[in-house]
Amino acid sequence: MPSIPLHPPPQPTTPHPSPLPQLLHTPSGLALLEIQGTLNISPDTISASDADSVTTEFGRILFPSDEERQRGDKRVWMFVGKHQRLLGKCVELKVPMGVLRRKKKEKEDGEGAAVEELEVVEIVRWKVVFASRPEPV
Amino acid sequence: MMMGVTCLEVDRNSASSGEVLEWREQRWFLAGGERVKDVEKSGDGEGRGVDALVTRHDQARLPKCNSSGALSSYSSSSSSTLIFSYPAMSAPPPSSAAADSGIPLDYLHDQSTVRLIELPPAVLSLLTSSSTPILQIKATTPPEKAPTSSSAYNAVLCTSSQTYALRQVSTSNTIFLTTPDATGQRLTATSTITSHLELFPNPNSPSALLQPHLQPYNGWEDADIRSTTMEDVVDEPVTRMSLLPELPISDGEFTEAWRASGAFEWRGKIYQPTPTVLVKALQVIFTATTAERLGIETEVGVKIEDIMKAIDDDEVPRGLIEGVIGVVCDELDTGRWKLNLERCCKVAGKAVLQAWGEAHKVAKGPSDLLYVGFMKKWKDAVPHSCKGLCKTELIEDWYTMPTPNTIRFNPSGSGSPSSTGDSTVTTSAAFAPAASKNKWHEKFRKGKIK
Repeated sequence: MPSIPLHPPPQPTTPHPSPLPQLLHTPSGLALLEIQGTLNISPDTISASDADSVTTEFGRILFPSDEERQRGDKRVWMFVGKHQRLLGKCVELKVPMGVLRRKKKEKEDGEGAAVEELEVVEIVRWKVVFASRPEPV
Repeated sequence: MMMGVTCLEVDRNSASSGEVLEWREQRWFLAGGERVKDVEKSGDGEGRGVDALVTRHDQARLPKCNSSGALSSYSSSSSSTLIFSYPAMSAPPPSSAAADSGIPLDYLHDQSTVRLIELPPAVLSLLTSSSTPILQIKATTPPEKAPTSSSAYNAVLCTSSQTYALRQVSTSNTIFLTTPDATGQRLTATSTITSHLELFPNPNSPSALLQPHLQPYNGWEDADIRSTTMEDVVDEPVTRMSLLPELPISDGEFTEAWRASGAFEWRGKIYQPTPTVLVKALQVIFTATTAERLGIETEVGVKIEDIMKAIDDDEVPRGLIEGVIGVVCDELDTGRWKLNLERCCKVAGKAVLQAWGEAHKVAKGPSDLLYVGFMKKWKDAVPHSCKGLCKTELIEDWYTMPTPNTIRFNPSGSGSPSSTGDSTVTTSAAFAPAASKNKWHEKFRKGKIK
């Protein structure tokens, strides 16, 4: 079996604007949200669609304000649909995680052989974990 | 709009309020304020639905029905019994107005596939350093009959000098990879991840992986070896470069294992000198360097070309000399080779003892060599300046002394003799002793560090 090269993340450019708190920022803006369960979304509920993406707005995430954080309130709330609420918090990963993705071929080389290459697109050190059961709103 | 979160696991410690429901898996659904009943896929195949929000105390048993078409995802991983409880609200919840002020979350229907991989500090620093080397994921294609459980065929992650085995760890939790939109106002979940790759130290020793690919080289005067020609190689010729991508080890470890084994390419195959040939080759090399006054022991070192020129016998393959030089010498920055006295003594001592043991095998078991005779052979095999270093402590793991006057090769220090070219190492059980069996390579390495 041939070996598969694993490319390092691209050199950081200007950070992507992100609505998340500074703690969760990564150069590309990628972040991890973990819920203890499975999200169920009906495929026919589409809230926005354009040529290349079909999305459904399934909820909102609410981080503590600076004021609340100073008071020691670190709770993060996630609202799913209109009637569910999950309580979570930001957690530092024990071991940083690399986000691994198939590398997009920049240009076809002469041989044209489909060589699979992987790249670490981002290194994530924090995640938001919603470890509690959903509560009714 | 129909959506909700299926909760798979709840902290058992929070079961304090007494309102405990027991479900194998429970789905929480809501559709515009209406109850939505969903089927649980439990082991008994009996469908049970629940509307958690309205009648959460009801353990309603519902007739079996088909899974709702509205589901876009379903996890069937949870089969253990989970306890759901409803502890008292511990903190004031945010108001509904606050809910509207949060960051909108979008779910991308066309989810992209990503993997998460753990990055231990060593790998992380490689990825973040400016001179970013390319990591590799490698795996050996197992032979058809090989047991798939063998760790030798698992995928590994290689840096330039280290190897990590990869293990996929699944979780019942769902992790979303979110990316902000162009304006930085919304978040979109582009990928759903339920497992990640864990890295742990490679359980297979590089030399044990290399060993099955090496043929025993019985010497340039051996009839079989002499009759071997390139035409005998039926398949693609095996070379060092063709072997490297096949072995699940890093380039650095491969180079080190290759050097320590004395392996060399010859007529389309890869050979390793047997102990007898190793001793003979050492003699040829030291005779030549002494005769031509080549300073193999000096700081300047020697060039392989000069040694080859000095060797009388034209039949000695250059690869063999290169391989043996690699075993007993250190390469200098200039590309020349300098003899490592201690390693040379170790290698020679072990080879002399092993060669004698193999040549004098008796039916009853291993045969013994007179200690005095062994020491003489050993000292003969090394250059004059090394003779003082020849002490049995050097080859500690490789001999036993059945009587005070005799010495015997101890193969348990090496497992099976490394020169037999035994290529039947396939099971993981066989790999466990293999890790310790080729310990002599590690011993050389220790000697080299000194």
